[in-house]
Amino acid sequence: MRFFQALILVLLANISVQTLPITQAFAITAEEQLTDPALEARARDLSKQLRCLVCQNQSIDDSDADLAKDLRAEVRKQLLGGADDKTILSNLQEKYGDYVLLNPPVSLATIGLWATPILALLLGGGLIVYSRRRGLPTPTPSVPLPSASEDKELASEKAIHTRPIGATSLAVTASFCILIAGAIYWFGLGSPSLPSQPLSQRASEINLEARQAEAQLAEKQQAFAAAKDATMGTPENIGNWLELALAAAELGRVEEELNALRTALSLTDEDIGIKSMLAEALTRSADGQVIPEARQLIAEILAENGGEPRALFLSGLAAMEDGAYNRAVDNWRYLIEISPKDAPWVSVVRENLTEAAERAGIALEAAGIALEEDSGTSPLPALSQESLSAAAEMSEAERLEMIEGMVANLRQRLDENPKDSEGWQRLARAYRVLNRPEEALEALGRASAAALNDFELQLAVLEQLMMAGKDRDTAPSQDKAKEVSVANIVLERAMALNAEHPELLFFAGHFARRDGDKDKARFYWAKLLDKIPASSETARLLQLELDKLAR
Amino acid sequence: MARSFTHFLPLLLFACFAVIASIALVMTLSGERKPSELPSALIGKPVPPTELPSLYNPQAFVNIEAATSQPYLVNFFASWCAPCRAEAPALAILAKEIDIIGIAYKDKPQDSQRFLTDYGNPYTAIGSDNEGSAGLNWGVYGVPETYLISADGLIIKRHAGPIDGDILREELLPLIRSLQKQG
Repeated sequence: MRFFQALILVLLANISVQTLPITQAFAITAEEQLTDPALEARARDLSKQLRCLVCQNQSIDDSDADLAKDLRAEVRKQLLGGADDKTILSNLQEKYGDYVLLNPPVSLATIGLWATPILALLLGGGLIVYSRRRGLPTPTPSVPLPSASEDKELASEKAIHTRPIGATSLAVTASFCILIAGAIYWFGLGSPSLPSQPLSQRASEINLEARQAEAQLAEKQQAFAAAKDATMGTPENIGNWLELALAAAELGRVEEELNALRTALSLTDEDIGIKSMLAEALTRSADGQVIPEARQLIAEILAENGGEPRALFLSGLAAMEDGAYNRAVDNWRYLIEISPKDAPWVSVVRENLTEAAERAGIALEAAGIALEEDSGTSPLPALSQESLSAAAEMSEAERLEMIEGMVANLRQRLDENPKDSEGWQRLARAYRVLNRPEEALEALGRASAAALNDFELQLAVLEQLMMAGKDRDTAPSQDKAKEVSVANIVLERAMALNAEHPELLFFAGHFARRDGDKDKARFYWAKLLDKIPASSETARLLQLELDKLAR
Repeated sequence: MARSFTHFLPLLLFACFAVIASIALVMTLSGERKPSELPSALIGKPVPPTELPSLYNPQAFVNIEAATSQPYLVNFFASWCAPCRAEAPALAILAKEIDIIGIAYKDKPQDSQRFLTDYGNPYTAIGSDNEGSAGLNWGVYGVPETYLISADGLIIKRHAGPIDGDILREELLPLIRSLQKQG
């Protein structure tokens, strides 16, 4: 029956904890307190026995409610009047009912409340005793009896341990576990001696996550500021610019990321890695659209290294955008082939590849691509002719030949359908990659002419013209003259559509300077400077250029 | 026989518990049982003797005494209490049937007066209970609270919270009419 002793101990422990003095902060204020410490102690003691009728689960000692304050004052008033504790409690009970007492009196109405635990205990105990007497055989020791020198108690304990575990003892153990679990739960959450949890505190708990998120943001902003400082300190350090780009990307500040990457790129000798990062950032900034500038970069990267994963991926995206699903499939298939099997991008590329293949109407298995992870172990599939993976094995000359073939196809299509401005722009990019500047300029002229009413397309053409000019700053001067004359035509068309557009003003200034017309360049850029925030980085750079022009 | 009974005893006990719990749940959900609503300890008891300064004339006193010739209502209200505004129309209807004594609970007299100007004055007399001491005597734990007093000065009913249409039609008016018939 040791079990019952333990049970009773646990129950006693609960009761004593309930009546322990409560030691945390209370609702009571200094001016409420009585000067006589003995009376005040009695007042506090009484307050703990009285329920706040507004909150209903707090004593008036704990509650901040107005009524609780009134009741505290009432208790003290009666104490000063010389009433004893019992009278005070019964006075309040008369007005507010039994409910005002946290310890309900034993009465006919409350007898069930008080008797239930005792009844449950008796019933449970009785059941256990009853079933033990009936259901279990008398224990027979299965170990040899201890020698006389051994402790008798030890012997009997051994006998108990060797008894088979019956359903009854299992039930006893289970109920005991439930009791223990209940006690732990109660001590953790239910005990009145626990400190109160005001709403403000819990609200702060809820807000904690929000604040953590804020802290993370602040951290990122700090990293960004630090990176920015570093680039200010040593602007020739490429690593600093790359770090700034990463920090800006974390914060989603695309403009700053692009600026940093461009600066880093300009510091290197056209580093492919940075170029591919820039291409990716440009694509991200356009919500996944591979914009002309990014396409240009991708073409440059792939021309230099046909296996640059980022560029291959983006090139596939660009092809998807153009509806050239076969090209996308080729790109991504090649990317998967050359990537290490555990490269982080492989799964994404696989997904994209599947989609592209679906659109292209290619059965991937038939084309020799196993989408399973172990595809690397199977022998390399036979590749279709237009596959870029074949292109990778081609010599430089062969590759150019393939591209020329594609360009010729595109050219033919455009001659049939000259209204396709974007097609002309793509053709221009291809010509630039093939180092055929004259034809690139011509294609750009056609691109502009094909979209006379589309301001955005005119801007895109201007951007390509600027790139083409940058490509060939060392080229013969007639190239530059032609570039400027084409640019002037496009500028005029764009000006007719939206003469005040900042980007257009920038291009106008740029081409004027290229043309050698410094005054005109200053005119446009000064106009642009008025339109952008004076504190921005762009404004600062523009001011620098303007100063240079003034010299 | 005894053995099979002990086998099913736990199940039986659980079934009893489940039935009681379900009844309580159904009653709570249907609104019949309101666990947070407190019964008044004063039901069936004589009104607590109350003497308060009159709201409009602080020199005079409003007395709530045991014996009157008619049943009446005692209504605790305050200008700072939003539900009191909500029950103003119900009180206006009640005022045609029965005398209502108002007690301005923990309220500045000028605020109470403005409240009555804005929302109507259904009361035959108004006492000002600045300290809330009358409220304590009546067992008030939040305004508005309304007590129905019989002609012989016993508290018949207490309603805590605003009087809405349902309570007015289904509880208060029938009770008031039956009391008035008796009287």
